[in-house]
Amino acid sequence: MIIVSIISGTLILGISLAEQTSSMEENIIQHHIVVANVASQSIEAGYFAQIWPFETLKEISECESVLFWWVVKPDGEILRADDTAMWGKQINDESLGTSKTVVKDSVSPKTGENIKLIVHPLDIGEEGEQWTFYLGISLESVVDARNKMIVDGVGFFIVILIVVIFISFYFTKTVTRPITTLTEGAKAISQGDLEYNIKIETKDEIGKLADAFNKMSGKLKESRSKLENYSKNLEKQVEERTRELNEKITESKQSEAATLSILEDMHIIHEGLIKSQKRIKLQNIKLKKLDRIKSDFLNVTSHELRTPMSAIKGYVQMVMKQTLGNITEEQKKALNIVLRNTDRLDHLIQDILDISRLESGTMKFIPEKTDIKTMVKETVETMQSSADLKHITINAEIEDEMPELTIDQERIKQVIINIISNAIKFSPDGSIINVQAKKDKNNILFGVQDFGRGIPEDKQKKIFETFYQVDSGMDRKFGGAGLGLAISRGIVLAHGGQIWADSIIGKGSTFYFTLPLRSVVDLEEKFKEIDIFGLKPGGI
Amino acid sequence: MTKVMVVDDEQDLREMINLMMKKEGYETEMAENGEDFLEKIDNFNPDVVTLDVMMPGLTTKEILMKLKEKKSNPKIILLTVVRFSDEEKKKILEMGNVADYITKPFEFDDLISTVKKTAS
Repeated sequence: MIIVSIISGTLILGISLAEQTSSMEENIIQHHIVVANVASQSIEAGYFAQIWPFETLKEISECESVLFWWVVKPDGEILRADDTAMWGKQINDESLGTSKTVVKDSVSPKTGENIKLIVHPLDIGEEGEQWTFYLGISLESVVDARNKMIVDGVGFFIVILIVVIFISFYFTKTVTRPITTLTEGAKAISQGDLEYNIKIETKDEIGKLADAFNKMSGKLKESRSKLENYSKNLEKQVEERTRELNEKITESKQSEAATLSILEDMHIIHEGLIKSQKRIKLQNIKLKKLDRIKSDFLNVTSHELRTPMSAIKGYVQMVMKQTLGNITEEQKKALNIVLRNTDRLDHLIQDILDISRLESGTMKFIPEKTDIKTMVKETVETMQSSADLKHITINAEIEDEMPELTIDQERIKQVIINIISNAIKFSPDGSIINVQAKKDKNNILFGVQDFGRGIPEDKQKKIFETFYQVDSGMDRKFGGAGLGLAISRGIVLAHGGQIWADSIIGKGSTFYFTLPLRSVVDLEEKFKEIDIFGLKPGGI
Repeated sequence: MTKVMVVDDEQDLREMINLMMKKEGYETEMAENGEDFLEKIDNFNPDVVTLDVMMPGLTTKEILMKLKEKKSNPKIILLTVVRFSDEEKKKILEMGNVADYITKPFEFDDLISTVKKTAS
């Protein structure tokens, strides 16, 4: 930068100096041509007036740059000159007798210095004679001016140079050096020398940059040491894992054999499973066949048992009605007993068939929309004649707002009849039986309360089991096969309800059962497909 | 005279019902299964038929379908051990010819009154 400044400064100065010098020379020459002209005209005028222009020439002589002047005759003899010593001297010059003004370089005859010689024609003397005015001028003033300019220029140049150097130095210190330092630092860091610390402590951007750079290299150093630690740890871990893996491989090789044998076992088991599956499928088919056989058996049994009953009942009734001839009162009494026992047998057959169907899941339910109040009332009414025999009063308490339920009305009636029958059976003469039906949360709750002998607590659940009787000896007196409550339980459970008994010995029992309000839809869905004639398997 | 035809595979029951009907003053004929019934029907041309729903051979449905091809158009009382739901009753009655049904074992009086009601 400094070098460039110096070269450019010198060039500018040189060019400017040359221009200035030539322009000054030109000015002086032009000025003295005018002087020569004035002098010539003065001389010409004075020659014709016979008056020598001393004053004018004296003034010309006193001009700063004028060295000498000569008035030269056409033959080269100096007629007049500023210096009288030159008068009469002979010159030999090629410009002598010129008709135009000539400017040319020459050498001072006195001092030998370089001068300019202005040669101007003089129109004096005889016709055809050409006199000449010579004006010697010194360019010393130009040289002085040039020297002064050079001195001034060089001074200026030096001042500029100093300024430039100073600025350069300043920039070098504040900008270039820090940048160089930074560059070196970056180079050092890039080559891995993270210990390198950039020493710039200025508070400008570069200082901040250097600070950031130092921090960065610090971070890098930290990261590198962390990485080194990691890599050391990693190496350790890899070694450890490799060792573990090798152990595992050894282990797995050992267990591979075991696995293979397990796989073989599994294959055998799988084959066994497939065989079992096939067997199960076959058994399933057999079971389905069995189910069908069971259902068919029940249907056939039902038909086979009830058909003879129909024949017996029919003929007995015909005889009793005396359709086939008159009979005696004794005969009538006997036939009445036959008929009563036939009915008892018929009920027993029905109960056994019901239990079998409930237990085999082949009982057919016929869901119908049922008004609970009407149903309970009707059932209580049908039981009243049995109750009357023991002078028992049946009180029915039925809630007014009862929803309609979709249930197998005949089967639920059967349940109520069973429970009331039991209540009548075990109630003392002239007592009361309370029947109630009410809404209870999501159910309809039915209750039948008697004031009989009661049921021991440990037997309150067992009474719902098939063929169970509280006291076998005692129950012979009351009759019944112990199927009624079991059938009732089956019917209630099939409807999604519950059945239970509360009792205190000696004070009486209350039998409860519930029917859910919600299961109605399910029942309808369940019994959508109706087998009209009961000819489908399990249809009856 | 009202003609009653008794169709039942059980001989005792068939003869008992037949006797009941005779004693009630009806002209009677008996058939022991569906095929027998369909063979005899056009000859006898009954007004009322008591038809057992569970007999070997043709099913009740088949018997009722084939009956439509016959000239005779009797009213039928089904004798069944099966309970019918309201919907079933409706379907049975929609099948044509079926007038009523009686569940076995029936009461003497119930059968007589049902036949009387159907015949009138």
